[in-house]
Amino acid sequence: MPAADIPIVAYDFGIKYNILRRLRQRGFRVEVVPATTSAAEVMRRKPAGVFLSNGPGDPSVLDYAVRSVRELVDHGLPIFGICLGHQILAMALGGSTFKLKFGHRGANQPVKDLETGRVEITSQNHGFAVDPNSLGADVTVNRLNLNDQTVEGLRHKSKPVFCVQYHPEASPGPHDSTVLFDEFRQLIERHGS
Amino acid sequence: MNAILALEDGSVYRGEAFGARGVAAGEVCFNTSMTGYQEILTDPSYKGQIVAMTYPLIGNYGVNAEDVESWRPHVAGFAIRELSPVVSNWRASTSLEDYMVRHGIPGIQGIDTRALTCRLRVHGALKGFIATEPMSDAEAVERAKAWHGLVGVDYV
Repeated sequence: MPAADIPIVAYDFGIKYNILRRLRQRGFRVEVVPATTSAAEVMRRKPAGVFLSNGPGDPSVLDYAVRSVRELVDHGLPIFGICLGHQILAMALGGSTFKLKFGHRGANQPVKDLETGRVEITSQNHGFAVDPNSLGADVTVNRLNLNDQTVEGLRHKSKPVFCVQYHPEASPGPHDSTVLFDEFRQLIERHGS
Repeated sequence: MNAILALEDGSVYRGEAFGARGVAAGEVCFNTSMTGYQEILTDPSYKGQIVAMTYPLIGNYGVNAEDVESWRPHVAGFAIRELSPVVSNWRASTSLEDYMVRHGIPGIQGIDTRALTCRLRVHGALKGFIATEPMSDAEAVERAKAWHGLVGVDYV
């Protein structure tokens, strides 16, 4: 295992253990903070990046988290979000969410990376999704679910932030998307240099 | 012992109780993973939900100490076609049944999970109620309807 030499803060909205394992395996030194932690408290820790975890329920009521993440985006910190973290980041970037009819839950959900054309088979568990029409021109939808064409990934065009609606940590499920944890590390390294 | 799963649209599934005895309300959803029930039960994102597995045989490899995704299970209830009577895996430290009893999670088995999944796909996720105590169809449906639902509630 590499040395834990990249300090990051991970927001715990209901984080899965395997996300923490994957982050540690990529050389991150992770400090987990509660969902209600303010942006100022996060900045005081001087992290190289911020991770936004998965979690339960309706994202549209989490004003406090959206406010904190918006401030962290404005500070220019590299941010990676998964699942609920993706929805919160989307709202912090001005977007909104809606409830899916019956959701995506399972370890066999096909997602297309629109930038490479590659398809990943992913593990998913979400009942809400980001409305692509709610997003500004500075946000790119870069991944779609091939079953219903809903948003599965976002990237900001100028700020170092990206997120996915699905679970690259798997547990349970295929490991097609594990590389996203490496991409978070590369994003931080590019941003720092 | 008998158990009941009722949905807010009035449909009722009767089966056999497993796991903890009790009642629970939640949003009924389905998961299409063939394995991974231990990770699913302990994923905090399932808080407030009664999870039905589309794969028909659950529990066959038991539960171990390593595959939890958080400190405890978070699902409100668990609905499956068949609980495996055999637990066989070298890592297993307990059975699914005992694990759910220990954490107070009620379950129902022996229901037609294909019919349930088809219903959820047509009508969307529905509020549901699970009970392992004797209860009329009408009362169980009423208790499903009476649940506040997931929308607009902070579950974090």
